[in-house]
Amino acid sequence: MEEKNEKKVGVESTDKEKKSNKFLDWVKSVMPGSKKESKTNEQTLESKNDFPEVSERRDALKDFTLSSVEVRLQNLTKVFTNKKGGDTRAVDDFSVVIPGGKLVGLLGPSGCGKSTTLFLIAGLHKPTAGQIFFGEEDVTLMPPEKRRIGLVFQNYALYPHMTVRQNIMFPLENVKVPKGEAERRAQEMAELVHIGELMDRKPSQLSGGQQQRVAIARALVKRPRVLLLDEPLSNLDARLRLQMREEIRRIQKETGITTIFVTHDQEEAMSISDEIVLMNFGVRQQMDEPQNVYDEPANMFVAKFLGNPPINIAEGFIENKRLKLIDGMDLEEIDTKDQKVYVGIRPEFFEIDEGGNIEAKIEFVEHIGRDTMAHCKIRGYDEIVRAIISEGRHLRDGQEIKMGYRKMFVFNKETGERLK
Amino acid sequence: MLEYKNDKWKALLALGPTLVLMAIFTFYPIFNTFFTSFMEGYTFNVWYDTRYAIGWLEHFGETIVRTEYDAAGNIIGETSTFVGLGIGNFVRLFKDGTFIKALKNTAIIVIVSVPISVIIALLISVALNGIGKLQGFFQTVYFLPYVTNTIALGLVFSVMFASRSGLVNSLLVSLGMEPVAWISSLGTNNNPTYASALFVLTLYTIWNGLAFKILVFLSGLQSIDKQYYQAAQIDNASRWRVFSKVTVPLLSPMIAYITITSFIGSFKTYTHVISVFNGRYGPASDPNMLITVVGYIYDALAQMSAMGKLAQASAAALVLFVIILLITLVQLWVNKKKVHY
Repeated sequence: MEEKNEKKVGVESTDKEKKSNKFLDWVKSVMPGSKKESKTNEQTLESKNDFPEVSERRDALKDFTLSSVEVRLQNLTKVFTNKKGGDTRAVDDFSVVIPGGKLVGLLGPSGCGKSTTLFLIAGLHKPTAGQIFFGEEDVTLMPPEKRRIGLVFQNYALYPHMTVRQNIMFPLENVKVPKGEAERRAQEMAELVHIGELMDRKPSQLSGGQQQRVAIARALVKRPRVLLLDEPLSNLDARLRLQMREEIRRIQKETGITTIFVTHDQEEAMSISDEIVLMNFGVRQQMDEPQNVYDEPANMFVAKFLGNPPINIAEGFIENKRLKLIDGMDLEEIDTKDQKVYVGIRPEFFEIDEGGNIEAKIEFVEHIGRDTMAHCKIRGYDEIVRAIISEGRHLRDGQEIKMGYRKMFVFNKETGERLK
Repeated sequence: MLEYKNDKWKALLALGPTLVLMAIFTFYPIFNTFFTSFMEGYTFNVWYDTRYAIGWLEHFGETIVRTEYDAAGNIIGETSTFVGLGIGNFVRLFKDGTFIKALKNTAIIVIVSVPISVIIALLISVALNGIGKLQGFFQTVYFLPYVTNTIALGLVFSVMFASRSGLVNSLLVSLGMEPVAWISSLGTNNNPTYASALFVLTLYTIWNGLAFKILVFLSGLQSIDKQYYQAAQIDNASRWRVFSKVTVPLLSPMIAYITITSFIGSFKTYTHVISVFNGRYGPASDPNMLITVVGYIYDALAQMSAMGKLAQASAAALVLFVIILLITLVQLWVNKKKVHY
């Protein structure tokens, strides 16, 4: 009985939505300066600059109402209890505000709780504690079907027995959208993701990238408030991966939908996200624009996780406000109390400098096109340090060099917190 | 290459004994049945056949009679004989009211019991798959009939529906209703009707077949990726749409398999009838009421030494075989269009 009632409510609400869309259209036509409209305009302008062909397409998608709701997670915690009673804190007191209309990457090593976070937002997992807001609406206890989200699964979960058209129309048929309109909207979505000519194929007749597009179209066709993508590129080969990540970026730009995607691949996250959220052990590490996270990591985990080749980390200490390396090499002045630290220098931060205060011996040199990668050992350390040096053709294996650095990070040895 | 050769020999070695047994007890009888069904006036005499060690195949097409006389010149026996080949057995078969009745009964049992039992099994397995804690317990409950003897179960059914004091009639009486003559007479003019007897038989057939179907469906359901259901949930699919648009299509290979095997099994119904009716094909008042095609074949075989009876049984068996073959072909053809492997 309850189920039935709920469903009725669901249908009603979508009816209302349709009405309100019509109403909005009417408002738009009469008074173009209304509040919601201006926001839409802004975004159209923004995307116009990024993708010249977008405005054309936007006209074709005039029915596609932009929904750029903000997603707010407050002290979100998810504890999984296994049969023996052991607890795993998959997501731990996680708070983040994902701004509306942005493409945000949830990045972290495997097992860090990023997929769990995504499923919490989707409503497929129930949080142990904390709250989830879509805009001002608290959706923490809302079942997934009421949240108006689109979710693209890692393996796409396309129904193998349905054609592409049937797959895309499935969400619309569920809420009893009239057949003609459903077909038109499905076609629209298919055009958006560039699979308009594949509508009568079965998923098994499509390539991985095409399946991905179908899954995105299916997620978008019901005009969700938020689009969630779970490891969207992990099932694709390298070439398709590059192509699809551009596609995801383009589709997100064209639709302006708040999009959250999960990935363990830093390059993927850095290349297309407006902002990235770094997670480890279920805990939020840092959230910022990709370049800022790279340039100004909040702690040692972030510094180590981002960057390829990885950052060089060396033990050091602070003594009388001077930062020193183990062998007594005095690096610079630092305004903190005496403590043991880790010093992090990205490979590209090094430069050959006769007056530099890092003494190292080159173990071997790799000339990689424009730059030179010197694998060297700093005096007193066993670990190989990688330095990318431009104009480094004269460097030879075994050579003793002095290096300076343009920039460095200093982390507390115990907590990993960044000191400088 | 050598390895493949070895494998071939190993395979032959492993399959050999079975193949030999199958050849003797399955393939030879099938061909024999086929040819026998076309023999006119066939008289079967196993003792003299063996005595002279003559298979009819050796002299196929000839009218060979080996007769043995006693000292006085009287005939004491002869080999199996037939007078010619033709379709007379089939003509006689379709003129035989009992055979037509058997065909009709079998068809009704198949048409009623197969769809109902497949649908019920499907619903039960979906429900079983949906419950968490007691799933193992219920799975065992539903599977118990499968490991229990069919005859014993049939007897339980016949006791339940028998006489005034049977479980069902006691229940009816306690509810203030008249007892029904289900499968046994309750008085001289209160004999079981065709409908009541058929009801008990199909009920039993359906119930008896559920266990295996549920087992197959459950294992099929458990192999469906949970993400399809999560995707459907996010897309606001109602329970009915999840069932009809996701579960059933993804389970369709299992459904097709079960439907085909159930059709074949139901056409061969025999044990179910005699176990419900205590060795008859119907209630005591009309012992042939629910005779099936296999029952008819069995009866004909029981009188096989009478002239033409064995050939008639063979013809009936061939008719049954052709019906099953045709229906299976139709199903395979339908499945090709509807089943998603």
